[in-house]
Amino acid sequence: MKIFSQLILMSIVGTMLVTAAFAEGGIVAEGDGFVVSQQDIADIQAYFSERGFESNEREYVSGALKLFLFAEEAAADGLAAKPDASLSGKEKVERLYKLHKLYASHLMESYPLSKEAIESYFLAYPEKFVNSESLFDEDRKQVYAQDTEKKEWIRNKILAAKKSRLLETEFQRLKEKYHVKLQ
Amino acid sequence: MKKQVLQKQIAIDETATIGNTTWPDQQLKDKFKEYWGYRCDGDADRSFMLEAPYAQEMIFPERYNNFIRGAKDKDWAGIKIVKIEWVTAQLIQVDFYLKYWDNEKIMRDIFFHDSWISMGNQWHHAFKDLFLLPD
Repeated sequence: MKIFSQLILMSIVGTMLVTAAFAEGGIVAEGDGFVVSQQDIADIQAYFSERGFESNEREYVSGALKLFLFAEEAAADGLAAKPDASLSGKEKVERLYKLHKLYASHLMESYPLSKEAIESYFLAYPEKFVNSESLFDEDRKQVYAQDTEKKEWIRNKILAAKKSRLLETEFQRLKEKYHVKLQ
Repeated sequence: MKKQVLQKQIAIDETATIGNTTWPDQQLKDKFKEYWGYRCDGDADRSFMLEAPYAQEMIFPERYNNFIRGAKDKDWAGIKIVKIEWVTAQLIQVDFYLKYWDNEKIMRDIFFHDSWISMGNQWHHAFKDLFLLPD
């Protein structure tokens, strides 16, 4: 019981020290047109901690870069304005997170998925789309050609499987584009 | 008994014992042989090129590579076709046993319920393994 209490205490102190380190001044990373400060990292850590997510310093820095880069690119693509310079703390993180989600949605919506990919899924999984009792009762090509709702469903299904890879690839591309440097 | 050499490594036995084992056309038979030859060789790059377009989009390449490459060290003995069946006018299922010798030289079977789709006058392997493509 004593050891358990000590472990709890050490964990609390450890979290406080990490938070304190993040809360000090100083630049953590920078890229063309933006800077990620230690205060930003502390604010992001606090924001996600409120929602039950905890991680380590490296992941917070990586997460912060994703938020900033996607926000920059969302603004560059004309999707939305960058966070106002006067924003800070939780409001700034919320705005960055909103822009991140907006840009991520834009990536998914604009991904050039081939019609062959969609059609091949339809053909491979007839049991998911069959309207009649027998799979041979209907002309599958005719069914496919006419049904935009099915095509949309399939597109979403395929992109859901690709999402994490697409976002990671885009993150790597933007790190190069914006010449990101870690301090 | 009909036997053919597959990728210099593995023979296919098409003798009908349970169901129909007649191929719908030569192209599918050739593609099947080619694909499973690559799979038995652990040649993920080549087998991936024969996967249907949806699978090429959805599957994580690294996981696919690891999944396929694990096969190359097995001592493959042959393929026994059990049944070839049309599911729809564009989808065929090929049930077969892939046989191999284990470390104690006992022959083992792995059963496959393999799917192929016809699209644009080409047959494509419809990869459906739940490990790499959860439903």
